[in-house]
Amino acid sequence: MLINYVPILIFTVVAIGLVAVIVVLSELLGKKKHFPSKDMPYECGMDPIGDARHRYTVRFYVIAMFFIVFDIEAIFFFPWAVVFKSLGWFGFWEMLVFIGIISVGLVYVWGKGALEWE
Amino acid sequence: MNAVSAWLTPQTAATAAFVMVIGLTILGALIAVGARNIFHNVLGLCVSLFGVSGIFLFLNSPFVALMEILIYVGAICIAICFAIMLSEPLYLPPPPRNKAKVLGAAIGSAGIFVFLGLLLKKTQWTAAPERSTDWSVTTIGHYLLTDYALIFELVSLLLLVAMIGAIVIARGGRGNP
Repeated sequence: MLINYVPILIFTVVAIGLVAVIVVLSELLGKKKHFPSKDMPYECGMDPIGDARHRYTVRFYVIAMFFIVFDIEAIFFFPWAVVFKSLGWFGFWEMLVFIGIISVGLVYVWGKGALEWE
Repeated sequence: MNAVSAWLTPQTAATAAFVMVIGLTILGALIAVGARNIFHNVLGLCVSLFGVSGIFLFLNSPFVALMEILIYVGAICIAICFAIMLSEPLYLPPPPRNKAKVLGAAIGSAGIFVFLGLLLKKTQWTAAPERSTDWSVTTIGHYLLTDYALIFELVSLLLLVAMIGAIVIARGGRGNP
């Protein structure tokens, strides 16, 4: 029921409020002095090497696709996990089939060398 | 004191939460459409999708709300960021807004809005026969793994096809070895 989400509501309100207070306070109280080294992009304290704005290789996109696939796989663990005990071994084998089918894809992808960066 | 306690009912809290959720959805959608920096558009979309997941909570479907956050906010928005990094020449300044395009988009979306509004007004809303009022994750898990086990296993097949498809397109299309 909705009453169960009251902590989430409180958390959301506190989070938004805290961020708002911090941003407004730093805007009001902070000194706004700009000099070139301060306006540089922050790269772990070192001078930035090159420009970050370039096109990335298509390999990143393959990784992103895998991420989506495994993310969707992971979300089906939730309903499985909460009924796992009451289902017993039947639920275990069901999930094993589920993971097995996806593992076929993983083996295929691995075999194709898509996980290697070269 | 009495005036405060009269305001602090669960009902007003729920209404306030609902207004917040709707506000997030609309605000995010406006940022997603209006911002000039394409990454701000994606962030606006994230905010909007968080709002949508809140709407699902109000509709009493926590599992769909969870999916909305994990898949749409967590994965799809990241994929959009990847797509931007791959394609958009970010070093170019964004081209100025084309007035005719903005006008066309406004007319088009206004038309859809009016159409949906009229449709909502005209429809006779009859409540569907309720099978259950309990759509908690436990109930869904129970159904998914007993009565609808075939669908559950088909999901994994769908994911398999998606994975192989991604590989076939990304490896074959670019002339990779």
